[in-house]
Amino acid sequence: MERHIETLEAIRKIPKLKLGIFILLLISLPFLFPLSFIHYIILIFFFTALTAAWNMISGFGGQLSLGHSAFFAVGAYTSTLLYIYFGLSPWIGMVIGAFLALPTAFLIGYPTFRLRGAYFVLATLALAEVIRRLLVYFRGLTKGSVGITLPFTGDPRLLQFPSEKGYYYLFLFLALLVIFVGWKLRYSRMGYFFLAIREEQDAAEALGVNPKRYKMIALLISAFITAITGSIYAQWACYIDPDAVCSIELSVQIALAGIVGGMGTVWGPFAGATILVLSQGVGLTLTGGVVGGVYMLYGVLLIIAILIRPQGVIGLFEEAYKILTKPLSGKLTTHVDP
Amino acid sequence: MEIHQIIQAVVNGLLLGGIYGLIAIGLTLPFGVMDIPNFAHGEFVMLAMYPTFFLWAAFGFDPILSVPIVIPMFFLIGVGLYYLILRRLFIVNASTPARLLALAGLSIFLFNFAMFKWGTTHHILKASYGMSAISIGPIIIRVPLLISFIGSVVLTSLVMLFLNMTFMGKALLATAQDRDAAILMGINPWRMYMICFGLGVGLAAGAAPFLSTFQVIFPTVGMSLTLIAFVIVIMGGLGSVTGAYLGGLVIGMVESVISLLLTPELAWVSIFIIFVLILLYKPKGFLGKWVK
Repeated sequence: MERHIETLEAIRKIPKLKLGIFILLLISLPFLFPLSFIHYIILIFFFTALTAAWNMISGFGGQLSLGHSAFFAVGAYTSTLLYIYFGLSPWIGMVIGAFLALPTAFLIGYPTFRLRGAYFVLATLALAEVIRRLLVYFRGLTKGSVGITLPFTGDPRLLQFPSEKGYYYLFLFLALLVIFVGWKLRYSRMGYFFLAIREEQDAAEALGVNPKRYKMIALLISAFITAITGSIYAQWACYIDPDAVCSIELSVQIALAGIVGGMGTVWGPFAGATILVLSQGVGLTLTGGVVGGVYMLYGVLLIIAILIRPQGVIGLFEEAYKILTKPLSGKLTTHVDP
Repeated sequence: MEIHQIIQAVVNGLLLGGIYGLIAIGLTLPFGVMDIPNFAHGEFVMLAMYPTFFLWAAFGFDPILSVPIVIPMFFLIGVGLYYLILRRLFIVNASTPARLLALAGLSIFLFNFAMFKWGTTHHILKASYGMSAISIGPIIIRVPLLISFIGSVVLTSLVMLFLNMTFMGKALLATAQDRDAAILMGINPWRMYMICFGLGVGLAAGAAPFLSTFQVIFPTVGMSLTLIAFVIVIMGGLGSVTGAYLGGLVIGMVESVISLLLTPELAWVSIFIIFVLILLYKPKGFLGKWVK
């Protein structure tokens, strides 16, 4: 009996072990592959972080956002402007930007979470458009559509790294952190509130869960993380302009990765981001880089994903994993059974 | 700033608002009848501007002559898309976020298709009357705006007549009010949905020739039209045709006056502020009838 319980404990540890190996593998990747390949992995981590943040409001909270680029732009522009004009390190600017994203999110969350229907998604779209136009309008400060070019220093104190490897680890850490936050959130008390609100708002409300409050919390966390990612992106790309950081294209890429990966799942954003970056590569090859080609593909992908598999692909991996491990776990259970 | 300048801005805004109203009617119908917020609505306006332009460029077709061409054309496109995408959304019983995303996907596909096909260059349609104007005292009325306004009134009246006078129009309204009761009365809701979506897309296309007489044509023009139309629809009340038209006039006026008083770029911010205020104080709109 004792031995059996030990075996059971060992089985429970397997996922953690696998996760450990997975993370070790990710850490060693830059030493195994050329830099051009690493660039794509960084993009995957970048979109994983954004999608996992998006997933908190759209997946867990059930409130679809098509304007996450607004929070991204707030983060990117705040840290960049503070650095350019006051020489403030983007490490600090990043935090200020993240806190500025909170009132921005509140502005659309407060009026729309009292209502049901398409209001929230419209408000997010409109907010992104308003922020983009404001960024162009205040051209004295933001240089308008010309954009801001950041000097490349390679100084880690300024959130820059001499080689892509530094960014690799930064984005790896960020992506894992956001996934971890998502996992914590999903399986916390609040996570079950989110689920209850998403599935049956009236019943949740009757049981004393305040939908407005929890949707707002999900949105604020989501906006906060998205703004941080925006600041880091600005220091990585060394160039920002309103069309690059506050475009519908960016919002759509995030939403596409989210829905393809699996809304409301913990690892879905990672699967979605991987598919997004891969399809970007495939799309560029297929269309030969014609204007609009890749996004046409994205639009079709989005429609097909919803019509064929609205629950996302992450479930496929889980099913495959179960089928692969079934003979093994079957044997162990018979062994454990006293 | 003199008073006649403000009156001028109000007049311009009202004339422009007619077109906004027409676009919003095409959006409010599918929204009210089948609960489909058509995120690709502005994209259809944009797409219909291109055939108008090419007919004008190739054969010297006056944009107004394109109206009876693009409306049936886009009605059929709408019906095709209904069978291709929307009907399937109903069949798989997609949740509201999923429906929104599918239509957003359609919107992205369409404007990138336009970019792919016709490039990002701005096309300008110079109608023969494009520069002419009528002056009444100090107020100048631009002819293309006036023709657009008249066109929007005519098309809106036709829609109202269709909805209230024909059997099919009444069946459409009945489906919007109570789908189950309509089914019991022998109305096929699928057929109504098809007609409704086709009509919405057709109306969007109907606005395009008028719009192209004073608006530069480029692939991303649809996005802001979609957003403006949504604000108008929410303001007028979901599914309300009158509300949509009147809302269009109001938003057109606001845009025009703010552009004069501040700057055109901030007009958008003012529309967003109106949107937030409506959501806060009048979320069901001013003339909403069918709100569930």
